[in-house]
Amino acid sequence: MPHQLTFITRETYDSLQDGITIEAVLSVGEDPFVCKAKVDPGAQVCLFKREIGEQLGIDIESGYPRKLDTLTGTLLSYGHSVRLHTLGLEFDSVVYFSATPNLRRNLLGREGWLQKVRLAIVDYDSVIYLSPYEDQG
Amino acid sequence: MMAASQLDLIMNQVQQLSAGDQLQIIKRVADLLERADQSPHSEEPLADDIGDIGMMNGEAQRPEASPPNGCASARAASLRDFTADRQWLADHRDEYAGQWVALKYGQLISHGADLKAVYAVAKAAGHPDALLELVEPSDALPFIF
Repeated sequence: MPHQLTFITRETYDSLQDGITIEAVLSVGEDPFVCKAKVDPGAQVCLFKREIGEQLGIDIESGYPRKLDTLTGTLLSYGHSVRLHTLGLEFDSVVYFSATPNLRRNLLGREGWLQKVRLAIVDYDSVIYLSPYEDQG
Repeated sequence: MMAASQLDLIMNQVQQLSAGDQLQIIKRVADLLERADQSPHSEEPLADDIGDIGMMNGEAQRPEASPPNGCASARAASLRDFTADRQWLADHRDEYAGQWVALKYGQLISHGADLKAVYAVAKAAGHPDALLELVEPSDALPFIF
């Protein structure tokens, strides 16, 4: 039996980059921070570079501490509430910032992002479809 | 054990709060649990404080500060077109590898090793919404977390 979904956003991502990379805008106060992030449904949380949190004026260590399990070890991070904007959808989210600087990538994972949207990817075409979760199209 | 109706009532009240207030509640509950765990009378062990990146291992999941499906606050908003910025990065990746760059509409606004300085220049130039990217060389190893 076929299943059909509809989405409000359709975007093409850069197939030349590693992973599925999209632009993300984080904001806490007035100024936004525009960066790139990898769509990662296998990640439990959204994780961003420490430097980004600092640039947003966040006291990183004041957030909710959480150790994360990676393929090569554990990583300490701190959760903070931010406004997260991706692919035309914006919502309040808790994202985590790495305790240590120089994290190589930002990740969009389940908590804070994937659980708030409905997502479809056709990687062969480098196309991503997105809608708010409650928009049951 | 709390009655289900009582728990629902509390959860409804929590869902009315802002994400920031919800985060505060989570932190306080976590502190309480931590203290309870240190008590010799603690009845239940706490879940490991290790979350999961890249793999699902069935560990207990931390509650989220905003509603899991936080859709009440989701709204459509437009992002500018980043096509030219992506092209600039593809064309200049090796020239600026290891540096932060601030880009807007395919134009390099500022660059350097210090993100704060790069952002400050971009903002002073009237581009607080410049794309800020730490450039990786084209021969960077394939990504896996």
